[in-house]
Amino acid sequence: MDKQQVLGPLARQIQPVLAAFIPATEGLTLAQLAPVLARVDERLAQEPVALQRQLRLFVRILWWLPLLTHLRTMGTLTPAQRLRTLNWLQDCGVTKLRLGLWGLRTLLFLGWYGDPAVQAKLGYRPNVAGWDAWNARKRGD
Amino acid sequence: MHPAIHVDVVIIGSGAGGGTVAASLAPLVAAGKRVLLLEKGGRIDPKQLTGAEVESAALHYAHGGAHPTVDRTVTLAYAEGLGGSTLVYTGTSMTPPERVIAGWNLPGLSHADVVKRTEKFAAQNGAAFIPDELINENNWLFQKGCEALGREARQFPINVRGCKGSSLCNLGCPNNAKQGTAQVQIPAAMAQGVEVVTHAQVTALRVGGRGGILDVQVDGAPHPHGSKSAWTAGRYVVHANSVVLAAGAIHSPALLLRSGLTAELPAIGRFWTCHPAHILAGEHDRAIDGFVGHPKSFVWEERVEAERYFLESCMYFPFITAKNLTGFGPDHERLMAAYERLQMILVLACDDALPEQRIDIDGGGQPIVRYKLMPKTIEAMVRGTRAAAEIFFAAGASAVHAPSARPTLIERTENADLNTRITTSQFLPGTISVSAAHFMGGCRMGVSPRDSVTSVRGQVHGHDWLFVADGSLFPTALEINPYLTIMALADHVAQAVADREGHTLT
Ligand SMILES: Cc1cc2nc3c(=O)[nH]c(=O)nc-3n(C[C@H](O)[C@H](O)[C@H](O)COP(=O)(O)OP(=O)(O)OC[C@H]3O[C@@H](n4cnc5c(N)ncnc54)[C@H](O)[C@@H]3O)c2cc1C
Ligand code: SF4
Repeated sequence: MDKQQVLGPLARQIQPVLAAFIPATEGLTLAQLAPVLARVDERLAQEPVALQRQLRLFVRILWWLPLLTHLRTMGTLTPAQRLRTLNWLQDCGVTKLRLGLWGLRTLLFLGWYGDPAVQAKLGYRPNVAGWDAWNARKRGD
Repeated sequence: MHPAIHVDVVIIGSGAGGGTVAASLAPLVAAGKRVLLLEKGGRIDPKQLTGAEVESAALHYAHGGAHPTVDRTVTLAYAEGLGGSTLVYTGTSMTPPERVIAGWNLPGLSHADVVKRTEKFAAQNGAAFIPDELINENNWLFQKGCEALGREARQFPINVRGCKGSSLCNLGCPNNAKQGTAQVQIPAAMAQGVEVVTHAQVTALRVGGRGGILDVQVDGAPHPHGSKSAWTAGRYVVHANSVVLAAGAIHSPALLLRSGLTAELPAIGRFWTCHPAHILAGEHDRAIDGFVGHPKSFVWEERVEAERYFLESCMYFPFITAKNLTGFGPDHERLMAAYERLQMILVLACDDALPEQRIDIDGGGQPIVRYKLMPKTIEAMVRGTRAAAEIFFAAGASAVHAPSARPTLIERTENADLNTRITTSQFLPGTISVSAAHFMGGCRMGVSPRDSVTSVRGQVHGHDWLFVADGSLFPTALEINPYLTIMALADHVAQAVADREGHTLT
């Protein structure tokens, strides 16, 4: 489950973008992020090969893009610089770039917020037993 | 290749349309007819559902619930399995507005007739108002916000039997309480002898004999949460006197296009609409616990005619919520951390049925959706967003997340500035998440083959053996949740199929 077929070696380039999107992941190692990236990878594996290729290309573009403005790669920007760069991209006039960012953002959210442990931390506690379980919890059963 | 199979009627798809046709035509079996339903997806055992968001979405939905349009600005949610999208629908059971059916102007299809049929299916599916004590806080806040503003929110009838309030409707009901075609119409059809085959994808349609010939591919793998197909894996050819296409408003037009059967009908795939929607969130200072109780209780639709939008109370799971909140980074994360304190509202726009909004196929014959968010649709969504923000604040929210505002978080103190804070110029397709789950059109009913695909009885122009019976029949968007109307139209089409088979349905 934790091995990434589609993302492969790009995991390292995705890591700083993930940290910008979801600051809670800042400082986590690739090993700690493996289940998150595996969920992303599993979803991506179901998409057409052309789309997988586009996404990989987009990750590479993101990695090198800050060379134009900061003479550094995405991986060496400060968190504030990364966020500014990605925010600029999010509102830029080029629809293709915005869409690429939206797609990557959505996949990484799936990887992180799709994790039942993360969901529980947010206070999301659904139960198949619905009201019965909720009332029991309120009563402290 | 397996030996050819000969039937009287074959139905393709088992959702709101196909499942209904199967039940309506079931009496033909007693009259000696062979009726077969082919469904591409598997049969899902509700007892095995866990409610885990990503896993359940992957089990039920095509493309994990996010089939992108060609320009990738809208994602489309629909299910594939025995029951079709009724497996994941929320179950709000609405009768169609008179103005919409009258506007279709279809001789022989009156509003009164459609309503009569929707009432039949509402009763079959147990649609009723859930009692006040089972309506959760998230839904009450919507109602109270509307009331404070002098707006009248209407309660939805919901089609449940034995609902426990687990809030998981859109991930498949683990309690088998929500009533869809897999619970009601298909079992009734099977009990009367209709044959149902899952994992059976119809790949092509052609004319043959007195009717049609279908190429069918059966997948032998069992569903991970269900059973295997009744047929062994492989390719089949099915000959049928009457063919009913009910593969949904994406796959039905695509199958017609792929089969090249109806090149003479320029409207195939066109006039496609989907009620594009997005989720707004209002932050409160206490837990709302939207994850318990039925997710959807109220609709506010007083401005649908004049302003082309309607609002519904709703609740979405964490990943879907994260996806729908615009942006990322610390602000997004902070709002997600407030998840249990979020009230949610769904804004749905009424999009125009235009010939250029269409289902097409790619080089491999797969459906692609050529749909654009038109300026009028964006304006409607922005107006709806402002109205929703007013409801959130009237319900006591301290801040509102509005996708078409920059910054997206609007504080309570800015309540008077909603017209300048939420604007169409900030509605950036590609940045804002827009999704849709009400697919209508693509094989629209009508009188002339120039601008419609089927007759008012769902019979494809020029092919008396071929019928359509799903959401693709709608000439325009319905402007309210569509499943009951799809069932009503499917029932109406079933009558035409029975006539062709020499049988009168009562
Ligand atoms: C999350 C969600 C919530 C919703 N909530 C509501 C609600 O509360 N109220 C409401 O009124 N509506 C709701 N809807 C909409 C409603 O569910 C749909 O409009 C309705 O189910 C569409 O019916 P249909 O028959 O056109 O297609 P579907 O129900 O989608 O059925 C089509 C079926 O055809 C099968 N199929 C496709 N291609 C082939 C093929 N080639 N061979 C064999 N089978 C094939 C598919 O697998 C599928 O099972 C919701 C939809 C979704 C996704
Ligand atoms: S809220 Fe009711 S209908 Fe919906 S999933 Fe839970 S038990 Fe089923």
